[in-house]
Amino acid sequence: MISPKAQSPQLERRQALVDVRLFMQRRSAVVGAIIMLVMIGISLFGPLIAPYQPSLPDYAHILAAPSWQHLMGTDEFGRDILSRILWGARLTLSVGFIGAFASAFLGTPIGLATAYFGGWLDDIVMRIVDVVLSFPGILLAIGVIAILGPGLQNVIITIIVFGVPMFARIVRGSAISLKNLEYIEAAKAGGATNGRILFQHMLRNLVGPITVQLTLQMAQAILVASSLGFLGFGAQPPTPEWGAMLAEGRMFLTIAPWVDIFPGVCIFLAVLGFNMVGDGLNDMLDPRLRR
Amino acid sequence: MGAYFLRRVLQIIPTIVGVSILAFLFVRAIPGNPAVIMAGPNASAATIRALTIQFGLQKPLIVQYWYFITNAATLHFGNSLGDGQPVTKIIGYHFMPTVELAFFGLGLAIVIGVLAGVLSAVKRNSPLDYTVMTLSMMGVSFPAFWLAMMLIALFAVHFRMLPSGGDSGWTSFILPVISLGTSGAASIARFTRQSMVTTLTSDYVRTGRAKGVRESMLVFKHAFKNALGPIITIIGIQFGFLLGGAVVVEVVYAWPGLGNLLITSVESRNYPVIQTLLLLFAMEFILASLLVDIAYALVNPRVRYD
Repeated sequence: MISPKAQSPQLERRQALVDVRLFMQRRSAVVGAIIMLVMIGISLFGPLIAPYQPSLPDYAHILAAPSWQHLMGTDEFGRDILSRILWGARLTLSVGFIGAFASAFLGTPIGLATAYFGGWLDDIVMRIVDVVLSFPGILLAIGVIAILGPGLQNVIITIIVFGVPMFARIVRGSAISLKNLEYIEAAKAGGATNGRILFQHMLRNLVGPITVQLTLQMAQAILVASSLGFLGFGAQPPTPEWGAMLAEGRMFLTIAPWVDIFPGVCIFLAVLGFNMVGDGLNDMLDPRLRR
Repeated sequence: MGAYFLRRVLQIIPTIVGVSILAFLFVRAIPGNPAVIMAGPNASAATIRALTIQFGLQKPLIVQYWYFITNAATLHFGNSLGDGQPVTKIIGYHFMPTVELAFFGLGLAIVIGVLAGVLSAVKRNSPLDYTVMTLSMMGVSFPAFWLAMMLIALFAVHFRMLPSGGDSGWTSFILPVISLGTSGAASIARFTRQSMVTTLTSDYVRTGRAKGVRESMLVFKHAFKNALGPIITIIGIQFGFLLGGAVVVEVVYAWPGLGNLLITSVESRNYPVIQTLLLLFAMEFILASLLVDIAYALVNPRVRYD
């Protein structure tokens, strides 16, 4: 993928087919993709298939063990855990999607520009990136929450604050290797504007690494969002966010472990799915492993 | 080596200055008058005035920053808002428990991660390799706080083998250290395998094998030594994750460390403590990266001449 991509649409289509076949050859990537698709499906249609209302208390069935009536049991208010998980999926996944895509959207141009123009712009921007990334991920998030206050919206902001410099650094790293290639020289000689070189010629060939980072970033975002939810800094009860559900259920760990098992399994599976896909894409794009 | 060392130390100065500016701006970024917010809803005018003077909030920003760094250089970070104790003293109470937890967590991650990674690379494409790689993929995907809860449910509640929280004797270390070290071990295993596969398939290892060098010698002396660079790098990165992970793990185990202090400080809006903790964590991370770079240069003399 380091070599410039073919420009003709037919060749591009053939390349896409090869890419798909390479991806399908990796069993773990396919398993990851299936998990990912199921999660996306749940987040789209979960509320339609949920057997109960997610916030409806049922004081006759408090902390009921899993049964045919309540497949994953009920929590301390008698709320159906399966229904809450099905409703909560869209919260978790949309935080991941919005956080990762916004980070990519803002970070990619910064990475491209610093790599291409170099000089003082590169020096200053990369120092700022170093400074922000000197704060270990979740600690930066907690710091931002301390300023903005808790809430799901602010969780997304914290993910972007960390994601933008991350993307800028990674895109810059890949873009630098493209900068001196002949086809960029040729485009320059042909009179292409800087904007055209950056967003047409360079960005096209960075789609691979950006996609990999996007998937891994989603996994990270889901982890961070659920950790913040667990700490009480994210979505607030009674919102059925998975991390917040775990925080509520923590008190009943000894008597009703199902309250804590199922939301955790879902976070784990969502993160696992995105990680496996990102990993598979990464291997696929690695020219050394490509055959 | 000396010149490289010096250059690397000088390079972190702008980062440290940047981090201190960010930590300084942290309290200023709170919307509204910082002194009023810090003083709390029922504060008297005198308290607000005292806080304004403590943080120099009536002076220009650049002067305030100067106050901040000169005070920080002598470890004066102001007083905690709740009980009025010096922040340095409060952090001092909570410092060692976190250091111990991080030390054992990272130790566990390195030992398991490097061993598993080397084994996986040597026996690559074997069932053992697939098992290790599957487990490590799962390991990096576990939310640390959930793993911590499940371990409590299993070993503290169900089997009653280990304490479920607090810091009392060596047994109380076992569960927090496992919760903290798992994802690090998984990451390190993946990178170690990758790095070892690269060196094990390189020409000099093939030549060594052709010359009849013993396999164990090839793996440990030739391949491992050359694979060490990237492994050290990932260990440094893991240290940062570990500091973050320690926060949530400490909360689950009611561990009397800096993570718990951070969370209670955020909940009670104790900004001087939060600010100092952020600065401290960032400094530790910068220092760890510096040590990693120096270790890298020691095992791989080529980087020193770049």
